[in-house]
Amino acid sequence: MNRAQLGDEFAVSTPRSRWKTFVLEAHDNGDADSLIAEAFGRANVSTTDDVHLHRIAFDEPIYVDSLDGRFWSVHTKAPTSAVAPQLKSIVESWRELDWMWLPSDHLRDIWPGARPFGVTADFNDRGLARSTKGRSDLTVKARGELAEPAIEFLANQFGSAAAVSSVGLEATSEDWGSIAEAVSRDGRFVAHGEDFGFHQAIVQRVIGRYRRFVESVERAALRWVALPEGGARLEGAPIVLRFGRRIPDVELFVDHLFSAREPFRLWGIPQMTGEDTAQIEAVDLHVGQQLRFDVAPGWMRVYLFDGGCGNSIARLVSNLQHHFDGTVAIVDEGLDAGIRQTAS
Amino acid sequence: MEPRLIPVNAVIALCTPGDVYPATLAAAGYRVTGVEVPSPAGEGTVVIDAVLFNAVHNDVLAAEAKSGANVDEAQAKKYGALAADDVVRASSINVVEKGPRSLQPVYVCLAEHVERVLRGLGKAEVAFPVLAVGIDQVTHHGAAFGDSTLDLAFHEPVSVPGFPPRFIPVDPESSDEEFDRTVMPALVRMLSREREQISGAALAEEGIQHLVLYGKRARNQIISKVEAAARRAAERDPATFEYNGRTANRDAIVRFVRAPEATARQGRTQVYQAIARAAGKPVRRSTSSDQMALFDELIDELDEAGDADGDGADDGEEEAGE
Repeated sequence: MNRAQLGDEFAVSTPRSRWKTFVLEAHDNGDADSLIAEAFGRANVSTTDDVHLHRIAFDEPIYVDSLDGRFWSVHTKAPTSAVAPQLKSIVESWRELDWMWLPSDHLRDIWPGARPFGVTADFNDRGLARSTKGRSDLTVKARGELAEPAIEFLANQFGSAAAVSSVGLEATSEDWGSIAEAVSRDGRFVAHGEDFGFHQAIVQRVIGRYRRFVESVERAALRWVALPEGGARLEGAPIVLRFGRRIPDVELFVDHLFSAREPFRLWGIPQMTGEDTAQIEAVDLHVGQQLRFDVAPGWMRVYLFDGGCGNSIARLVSNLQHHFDGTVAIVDEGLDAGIRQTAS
Repeated sequence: MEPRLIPVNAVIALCTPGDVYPATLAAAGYRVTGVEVPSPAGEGTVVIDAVLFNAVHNDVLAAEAKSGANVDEAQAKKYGALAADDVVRASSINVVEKGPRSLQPVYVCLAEHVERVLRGLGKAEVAFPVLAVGIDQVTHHGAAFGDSTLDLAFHEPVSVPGFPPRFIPVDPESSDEEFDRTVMPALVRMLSREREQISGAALAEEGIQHLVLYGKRARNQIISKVEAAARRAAERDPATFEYNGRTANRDAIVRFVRAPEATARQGRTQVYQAIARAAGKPVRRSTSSDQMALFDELIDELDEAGDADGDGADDGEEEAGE
């Protein structure tokens, strides 16, 4: 098996064997082979002529392509239902692995000129907010001609509750022909088209934009650098999220956010420092890293420390979009551009 | 954050753009180039709490962040004796523009202490600008900065949204409670990474990100306080942590008795929640809403009754989605 043969094996897609790609964020310390062997089970893993391509003998075969380094593409033609549970179990068991957590806007610009044929949106602020009418939730699924206007309608009418979860789109290329591609906010791709290369190009475009955001966040991480004669220099800055809606009850919000529950998996003991401000020394249990938070009704300050993983911030932003405020923004304009539709 | 640490964090925050806290000093061209920087000062030395540098005009601000209201006269005189080039060397500033360098000491204090600080500076016979940090504004008192941009920037009170960012959340003088808050997440982080044990010194490195700021004596003070916080954590939650104190030939060690990551997923969350409760997190009452429960029950019953339009079947394979 080599990369060309992978292309041959995936040359044809049918309605019953569509191309599926799951993108995993991996911290392999430069040794992808070992992490793949340990995470997927050494006995299941076969190497190929391409050092970055591994075949995994699950019930349905999958291919792990680690060529990108940080973002692995897991390809299969098996039904998602046959592969997704195994991958979910692996990602939850390995701190070195995580999903992509696409901001809502990244899903709205998957490929230039592509026409959406489907969109889903879900929002549920259970636990993070409380009003006289209880929690707010919104689930939308629109297909066909309704998809494009539904996306605009969501943004215009629902504001804070407008958070896109997945999109389906049709795209054409002079070189690759046409493709139908569905993408979810946790980096799952399902496609049917004329050229597997087109599918891979779309996946890489989404990864590329996401990577730029994650890496820009990591460059902003706080770092104390010792000075030769004593003392230290501070580099980086906290990342401040500004909400489009006020947190109605900060104490309730932080109690839930730092309760170690999914999807945030943040552990912390909030300290209320005023009627509506809180400080939290927290742990991101997804990856086992320390974070610091300050929370006020209109904003949240997050301190990512040297060596911290930017995927934590992407996960936080994506989950806050779906569980508190779909319009959440980053105060730093450069970082905010990274979660916007126009990021390139 | 302890009020003592507000001034030093405020002066750093005023130099840090991209925050809801105003970056007034950054807008005037200043960046922090060093914190806790020892520098020659006349015949002696002084540790400057924060060195700020304007790289365009070669202006240095040497900031003394007062944790209290008292001015140490000898220290104030040393600030008055600082030379710009000594501070440039001490904080390894890269000077990129040719031309003379200037230095201005500035005191930063809590708003409620500003009158006493001004009196203290008067007794020391020095005249420095003073920035007074309040919960809702920062104001300029005392002498002018000698930099027209800065004088203009602080001509009116600068509004701030509460406490500054916590770049330095604890120092060697911080209380046990503050160290408990800082050390506990470091311990939980080690638990989540399935560590079996950690030394007190390593725990301090993990939990106190700014430890590098301090000289040896202050660093050892912090390590001792971190060890004491770890001992208290073990006393509160012996099911999770075991503390073995320092001996003549061995560092203090924290052993992790419980392994949340080894438990099933649902149980894991509960173990972490139990650790938070043992560390003092209060239990809050349920936030469920009767109104929503009623609605959910109705929807569930409708779902069970089936789709009235008979159009619920999906004709395709699964799509990406949630």
